[in-house]
Amino acid sequence: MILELRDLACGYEKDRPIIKNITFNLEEGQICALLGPNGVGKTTLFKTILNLIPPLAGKVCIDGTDISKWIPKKRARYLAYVAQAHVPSFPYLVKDIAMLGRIGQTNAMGQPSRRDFEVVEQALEDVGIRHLRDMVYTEISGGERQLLMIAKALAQEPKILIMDEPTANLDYGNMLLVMDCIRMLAEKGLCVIFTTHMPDQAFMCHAKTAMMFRYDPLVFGDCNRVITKENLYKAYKTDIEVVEVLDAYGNPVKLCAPGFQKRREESTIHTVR
Amino acid sequence: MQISKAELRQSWITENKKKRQRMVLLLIATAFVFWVCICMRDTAYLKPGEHAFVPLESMKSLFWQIAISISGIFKGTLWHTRMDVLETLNLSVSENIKVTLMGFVAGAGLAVSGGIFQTVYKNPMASPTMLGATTGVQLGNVLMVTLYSSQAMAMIVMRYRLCYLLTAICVGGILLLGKLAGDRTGNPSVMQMVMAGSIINQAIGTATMYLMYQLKDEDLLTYQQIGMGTYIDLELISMVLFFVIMGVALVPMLVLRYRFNITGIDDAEARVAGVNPSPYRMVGQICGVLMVTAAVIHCGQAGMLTMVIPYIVRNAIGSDFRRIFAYSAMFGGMLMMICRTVTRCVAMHNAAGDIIVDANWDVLRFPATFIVNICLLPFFMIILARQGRAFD
Repeated sequence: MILELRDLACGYEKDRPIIKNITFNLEEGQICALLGPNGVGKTTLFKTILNLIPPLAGKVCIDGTDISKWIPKKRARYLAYVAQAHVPSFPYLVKDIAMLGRIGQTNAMGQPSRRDFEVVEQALEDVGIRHLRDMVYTEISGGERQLLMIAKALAQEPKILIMDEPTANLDYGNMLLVMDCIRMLAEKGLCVIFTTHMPDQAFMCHAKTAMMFRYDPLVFGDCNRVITKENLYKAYKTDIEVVEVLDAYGNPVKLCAPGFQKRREESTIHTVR
Repeated sequence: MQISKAELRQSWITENKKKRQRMVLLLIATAFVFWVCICMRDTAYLKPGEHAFVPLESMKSLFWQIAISISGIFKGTLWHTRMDVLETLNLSVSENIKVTLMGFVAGAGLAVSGGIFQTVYKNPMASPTMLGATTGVQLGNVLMVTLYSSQAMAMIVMRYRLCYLLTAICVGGILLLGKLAGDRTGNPSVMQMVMAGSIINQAIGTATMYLMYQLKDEDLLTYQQIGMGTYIDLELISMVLFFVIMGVALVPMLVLRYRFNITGIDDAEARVAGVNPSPYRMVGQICGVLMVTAAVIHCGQAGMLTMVIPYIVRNAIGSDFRRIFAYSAMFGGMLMMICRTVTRCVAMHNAAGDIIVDANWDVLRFPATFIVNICLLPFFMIILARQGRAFD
């Protein structure tokens, strides 16, 4: 399975694209981290890939076929989405929220079948929250809620999982929980695309990286090649060093280290002593 | 870790067993309440020494009425002596059954429609009154009495037509106003819908009050009787209209009860999951308005039933619309049956302790929704108190 973005231009008004000339491919089992400053069009790109808004130019293809011509049910078998903000209106049970992922697979008058039940149970098990199935959504932690949203998306049995800032508002521990889950899903053969404001997360997953800039074309490739000091400055207008350290097991780990000292020296704000 | 087939099978069986047990208990409770209600006699007509709760006599009466009906089909001898048989029974169980059954369906419809609106508007305090469903009926009732005086009580078909027409106008007006107030795609927020509903409801309410003010005393009493549901029309045409409309509204919601959950989640997530929630929202609102209008025509104002019952069910059983539908229908129906029976068995008395009668010498009753609201008021206070601490 190959997801191709061919010369994609995205936006909400026909003659005012927010982003254009987006071209890259992803295969099953690959993780892609989408980086870029606020307002550059990451969520707009996601909405275009998911066909929530039509592309202004170009195509989104899966295995060579333009997905904008597919019926929603067929698209749901390939693409699943985990939104950035998901506050359900009512205190649903964990298992009920996960079951909502199967809703597109039942017919309009149908009820969830035994197979739907089994898929949902396995999805909850895959993300490690099956023991919470009978709890109310509001009673679980932020990290567990995010895992639940992932389980709901997995219940669709997609081939591509698109996640909009999956670790936003999560503490460090929960963030690692979610990143571990993403790595596990990719090992199972899922293609995962996620946006993040933390370039370190691309290194954590050894992900392909697509970096978007306000005034320059998108750069796509291996995280080690794309996440460089120069590209980070171009994207975030901040000096960020990419340093390599060894973890507790002696494995090299890359991290991003912001240059606070230089920022302080360049700052025009004078402090009164 | 892959879950074994045996474990999945066991989980499936346990899950379904729990659901079945709960549903069976609920059905038994509903049937019991139904039976108690049809075995209660009207206390206003009790002779000294007679009891209000007469299960044996009621079942005997029911048996003989069924026997007479079957005899009537085959023109048997029992059919020819039916009046003598009924006179000795001194009970009209069939009337009890009609009133109780209509009360059950009305209560079920009101509670389910409340659940629908709360799900569609993603707000636990939403109710069908937001769309002006009851306001249209109020105006329809007062117009009927203004035009036809006490004959309005017998003109059920005309009443249904007028009330549904005015409800459609109210709902259309609120939706249009909401759309105008909404964002650039025409989608109003819940607050905007509430405000649009308030504007239209206030306007219609003012017109209703003005017309009420013009009514003569006897017409005002007629309006009160049909507006508050103390007059129960048991004519065949009235019952047929009521059950057909309720059926038309309840059956689609029964069939779509699982899919309807899609209206309670984010639109983008729903569409990516392969389902467009908009048609389900539209169907739900239409069915909800149909149910509420028929129920309010039949038994007066909806009161807090549309809001409180689904809220209690959601907190006690879960937010899955399948459960909301089943449990709200049953609990709403049971509550309305009980309140109907209470009003049927409790006559209004004056200060001297005498039973109050109207101009036709019929015993005056409390409106059923009056009893419903008294029962639900404590729960409503608890809900309000919890909202301050509730998860938003």
